[in-house]
Amino acid sequence: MGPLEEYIRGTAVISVTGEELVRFLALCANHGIEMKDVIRISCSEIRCRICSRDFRKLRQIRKKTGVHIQIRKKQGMPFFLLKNRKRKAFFIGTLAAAGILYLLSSRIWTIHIQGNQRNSTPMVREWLKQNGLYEGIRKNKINCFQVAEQVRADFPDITWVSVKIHGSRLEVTVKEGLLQKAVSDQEEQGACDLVADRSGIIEKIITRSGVPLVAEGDHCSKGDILVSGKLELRDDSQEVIRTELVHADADIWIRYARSYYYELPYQYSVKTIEDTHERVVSVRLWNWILDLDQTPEADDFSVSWEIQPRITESLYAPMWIRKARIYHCRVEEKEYSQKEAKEKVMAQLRKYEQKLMEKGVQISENNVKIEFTDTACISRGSLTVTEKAQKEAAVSVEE
Amino acid sequence: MLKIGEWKERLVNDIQLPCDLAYSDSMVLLKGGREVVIENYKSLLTLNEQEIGIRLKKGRLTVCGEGLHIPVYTSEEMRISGTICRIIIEGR
Repeated sequence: MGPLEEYIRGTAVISVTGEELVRFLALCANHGIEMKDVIRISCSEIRCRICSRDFRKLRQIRKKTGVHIQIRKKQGMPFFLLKNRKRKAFFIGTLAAAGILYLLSSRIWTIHIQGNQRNSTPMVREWLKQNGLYEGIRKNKINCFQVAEQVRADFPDITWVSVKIHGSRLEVTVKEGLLQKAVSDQEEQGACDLVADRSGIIEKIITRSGVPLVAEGDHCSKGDILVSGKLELRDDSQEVIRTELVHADADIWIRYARSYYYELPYQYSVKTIEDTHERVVSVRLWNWILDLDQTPEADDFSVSWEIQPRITESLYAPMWIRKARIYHCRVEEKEYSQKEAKEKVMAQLRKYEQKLMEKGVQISENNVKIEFTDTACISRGSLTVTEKAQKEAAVSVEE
Repeated sequence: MLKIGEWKERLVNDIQLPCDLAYSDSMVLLKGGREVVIENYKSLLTLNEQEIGIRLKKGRLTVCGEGLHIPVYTSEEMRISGTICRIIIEGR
C-alpha cells in the first residue's frame, strides 16, 4: 500500500502489550494484516502501524493471544474528516475555490496584440470582437488557425499572423508589409480627369498625361476640369477619328486667398496644481462596474488607467481595477495686457503659418490685421497661399 | 532409475525455473548493513532491538544488530532495518 493510499484509507498506530507478542504478529501475518514500523518498546510491549480497515480483524487475534491493544495515534483522511466534520464551510470553500479556478482558467481574460503599427490596437480589438473573440470567451471555442486566416484576409497589409493561447491570455502577433491594395490600384488605373479642388489662379501646371485645359495665369473655380483624360485623335482634315480615355496626371499649383481669424479674450484663468493623490475609482468584473469614485470638484482633473491583476504570467483574473491620479487645482483669474495679447496673437499666427508650410503650402502674402476690442484681441485677414489643389474625377462623356 | 527428488532437480534445471519457486526456498536480500528483506518465511520467533529470529520453511534465520525494527511485516515479505551485524542461518 503506497503512502497516498495509506493516507486515503487511514492508519492507526497501536501499542500491543502482553506475553504472546510474537504469536500475535505471526497470526496477524497469516490473516493478511499488513503491519508497518514494528518496534519493540519493552519485553512486553510492541508498537506498530496498521491500516484502519485491518484493525477490525484484530478482535479474534486479540482473544486468541490475550494481548491488550491500545490505539496511540490515528492518521489519515477519514480521521481528518471526522475531526473537522463541523467545519463544512471550510471544505465547501476549498471545493468552490478549486472549481472557480478551474472555470476561470478555461476562459480568455486578456487579449494582447503586438507588432501592429498601421492598424491600431483598438481597431484590431474591435475586429476581433466583431468576429466573436472577446474577453470571457471559452478557450475551446477559439480556432487559432481560422482566426489567423481571417485576419490575413480582412487586413491586406498584414503579411504574417500568429494567434496563440497562453493560460488565460490570447496573444495576437502580426507583421505588416506593403499595402497590397495600393500596389494593385496602380496596376489597374482607370481613365479620369483632374479637377480643381479650390477656386483661384493657376500658378504652375506640369502635365504628364491628358490634355491640359488651363494655362498659367488662368482663373479657375472649384470643380473645373483642369486636365482632361479624353484624348481626341484627328486625321489630316482635323476630324475626330476616335477618342481614347487616359488617366490624367499632372501637378497643378493654385494661388488663392486663405482667410484667417483668431480671437483672444483678455480674461483667462490659470490652474495651479496644489495637491495630488492616487486612488481606486472603479472595479470592473467582466461587464459589471462598481463605481467607487466620488463626484470630483469642478476645478480638479484626473488621469486614469486600468490594471488587470494576474495570478501567473499568463493567468489573468476576470477583473479590472481602474485607478486615477487626481490633481486638486486652484483657479486664478488673470487678464492680459494689450501688449501681451498682441504677442500671443502673433505667436498663434506664426504657428499657423508654420503648420501650413510643413504641409507644403507656400505663403506669398500676409494681409492679417490685429484689432483691439473691449473684451478681446482679434487677428483677422487673409493669407495668399499657393498649394497643389487637384483631385481626380470620372471622365465626362458627352452624349 | 532416478529418485523423485533427482527428477525434480533435473526438470528445474532443464526448464530453468527459479529456485525459490521450485523448492519454496526463502529469499534474503541484504542492502548494505542497514536493511534486510526476507521473503517466503513461516513466522516470527523472537523480536527485540538486538535480535530478530525468523522461522523459515526449512530452518531458521537470526538477524543480530543494534536498534533493529521491522518497517514492513506482511505474510509475503518482511523488512528489518537497523544496524545489522550478523545474519545466521541454521538448520535445513
